[in-house]
Amino acid sequence: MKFDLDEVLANMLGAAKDSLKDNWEFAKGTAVDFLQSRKERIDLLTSLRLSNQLSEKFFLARLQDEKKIFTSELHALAVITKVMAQNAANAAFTVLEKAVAAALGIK
Amino acid sequence: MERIIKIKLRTKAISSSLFFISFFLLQACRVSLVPTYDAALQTQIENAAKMTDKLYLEMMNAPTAEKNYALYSKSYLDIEVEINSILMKNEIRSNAGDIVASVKTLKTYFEQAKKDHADRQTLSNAEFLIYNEQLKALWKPVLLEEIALSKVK
Repeated sequence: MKFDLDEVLANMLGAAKDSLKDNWEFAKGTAVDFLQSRKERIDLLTSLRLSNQLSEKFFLARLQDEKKIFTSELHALAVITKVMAQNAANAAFTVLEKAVAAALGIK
Repeated sequence: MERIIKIKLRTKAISSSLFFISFFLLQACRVSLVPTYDAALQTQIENAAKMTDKLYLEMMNAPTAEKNYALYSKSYLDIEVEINSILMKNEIRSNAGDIVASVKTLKTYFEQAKKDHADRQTLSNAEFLIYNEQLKALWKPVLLEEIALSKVK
C-alpha cells in the first residue's frame, strides 16, 4: 500500500489549477461583455435624454435601474465563480480518490 | 513475541480499514455549490427572452395610434407567466440563491415596465427602446447563469 501524500497534494493542486484555467475565459468574457453592454446602454440613455426624447423623470428612473442590472450581473458572476470553485474542488478530490484507490489496489 | 505480532497485525488491520472507510467517504464527498444544469430551463429562458424582445419590437414598429397598452396586454401576460414559471422552477432548486435573485429582479422590472405602459396607455419609441435594452440586460444574467451550470464537470 503506497501512498505519497506530498505527491498526491501536488497533483490535487495541479488538477484544481487546470480546472480553473478551463473556466477562466468564460468568466472573463462574461465580465467584459457586461461592462461593454452597460457602456452602450448608458450612451444610448444619455443621447436620448440630450435629444429630449426622454423626460428627466424617465431618464433618472432608468439610470437607477442600471444599479439593479449591475446587481443581477454580479449574481451571474457569482454563479460562474461557484461553478469554477466546484469544478476545481472536485477535480482535486478525483485525484485524491484515484491515489487512495491505487494504494488500496481498487480499480 | 506472539503477542507483539498479534498487536502489529491488529494495528495493520485497523489502519487498512480506516483507509478503506476514508476511500468510500471520499467518493461520497463531492462539492456542490450550484444547482444541476437544466437544458429545458435554458430553452425556456431563451424563448421568454425572445418573446420579450418581440413584444417591444412590435410596439416600436406599430403606428402611434396602435401603441396602446390594451393591444399588448396579452403578450405582457404571456411573458409574465414565463418569468413566474422560471422563478418557481429555480425556487425549488437547491443552491440557487443567486439565480432566484436575478429572476426576481427581472420580474420586478418587467412588472414596473408593464405598469408604466398600462398607466400611461402609450409610450414613445425611445421609452420602448430603453425598456427593451434594459430587459435584455436583465435576461442575460439569467441565461448566463444557466449556461454556467452546463459547465459543471
